[in-house]
Amino acid sequence: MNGQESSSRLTTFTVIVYWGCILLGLGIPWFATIAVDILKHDQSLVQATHQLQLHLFAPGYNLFLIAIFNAVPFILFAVFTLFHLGLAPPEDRALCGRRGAGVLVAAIGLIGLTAWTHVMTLWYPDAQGALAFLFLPVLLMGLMPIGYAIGRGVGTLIFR
Amino acid sequence: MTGRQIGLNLGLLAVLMVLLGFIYWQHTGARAVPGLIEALQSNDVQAQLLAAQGLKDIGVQAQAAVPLLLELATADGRSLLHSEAAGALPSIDLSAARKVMLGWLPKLQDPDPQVRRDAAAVLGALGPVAKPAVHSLLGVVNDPNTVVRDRVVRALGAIALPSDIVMRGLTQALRDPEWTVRYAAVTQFSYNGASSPESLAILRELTQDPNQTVARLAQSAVDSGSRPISVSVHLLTLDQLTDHTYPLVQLARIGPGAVEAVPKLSSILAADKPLERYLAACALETMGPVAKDAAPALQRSLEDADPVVREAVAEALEAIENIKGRAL
Repeated sequence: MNGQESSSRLTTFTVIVYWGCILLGLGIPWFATIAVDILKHDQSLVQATHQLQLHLFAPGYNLFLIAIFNAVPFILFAVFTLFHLGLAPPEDRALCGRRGAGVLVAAIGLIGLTAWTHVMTLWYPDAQGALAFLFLPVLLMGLMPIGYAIGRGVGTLIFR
Repeated sequence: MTGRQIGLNLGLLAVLMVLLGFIYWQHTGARAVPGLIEALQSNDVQAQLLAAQGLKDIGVQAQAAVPLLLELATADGRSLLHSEAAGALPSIDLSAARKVMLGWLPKLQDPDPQVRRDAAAVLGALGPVAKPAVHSLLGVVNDPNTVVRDRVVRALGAIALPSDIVMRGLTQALRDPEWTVRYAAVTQFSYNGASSPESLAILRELTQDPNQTVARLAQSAVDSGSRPISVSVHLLTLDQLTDHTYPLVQLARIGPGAVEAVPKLSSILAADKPLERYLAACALETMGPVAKDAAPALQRSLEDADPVVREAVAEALEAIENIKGRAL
């Protein structure tokens, strides 16, 4: 693999993680709503999507705002990724690999915890359930460096 | 990545954020009204219900929806939308809400229990604006149909004013032979905290109710009745919440004991929302002569743009002046 190819792959990876995080940060609450409607409430995809559309701006639901709020830590992480990976020297494959592993594990952690929280909150509705949507972004901010540190540690072992 | 590529991605993110902000802006406040009116006209009941709730949240700026809400709230036949459409009106147009009340009041005497039930539910949905309906509701608090009695009790709790008359009806319902009605009555005492010595005595008896659900809730009502929320807490809530309806109703229920709220209530008489001005006037009315410091503000409000507010202001002034006269 030559330097140019390596640089191009790193750029592609960075852009995928960057936009993937932003779009999933926005989309996970909506995907979770649709998934729970389909799997728990036996609705078709069309019905579930219609339900989502109805509740996007409905008082007491505000699924649009929930998505925006949820996306905040994802956007911050995406911007971090853009600079952290985007400015990494492509010729230093070990460093790029370690940084990539850190970003990847942190991203998987963010996505996994968000998806699990949203699905569980909708699956087992509770009067205080909406609080989860408030605390989740804060929790994600704390989880981000931990996930990155774990990934970076694993990356150090792999990319020597 | 080059600096240009990074800048491009950041720029696209900024565009996305602006776009999302624009979408949100488009769907909130007065801008959302045409879309909500369209949803109200659709054949999708759920969309209609959510649209009515949305319009209620928007308040006075949703004036354009009033004719349609009025039509839906007073339409003949059975409809899930009656209560929801009626419930949206007080925050938008008090006079329209009163029209709904007048439309449904005679139906409390309808031979069909379902119609009586719906009438009570709609009157309850109107909340404190349906204050003139309380006497009619008291007339059916002993309706032979259990569900009608249940709805009447809930409606009395939702209207809440005048508190002494509402309290009389709710206290009567605490003795209802049907546990669901007793439960509905106890709920009003449990969550609103206000209770009279008579109701408190019955609530204590109900802690031994054969129905455990009623008994537990009665215990909670006794507890909250013995620790009423202070006026200062309601005043604090008024300062902190954007929706002032609940603390204003609670202050109105307290009556003369809420005298320290008079300056705040006087200032609310000039609020933008007619419902808040109306509730402030109602609260001052229940206080009677102790609210005499509010008289100048009430005098100014006799010229209020809303006729329902003007009526409430006149009643408040009368309550202050009449009792003042008696005291002299």
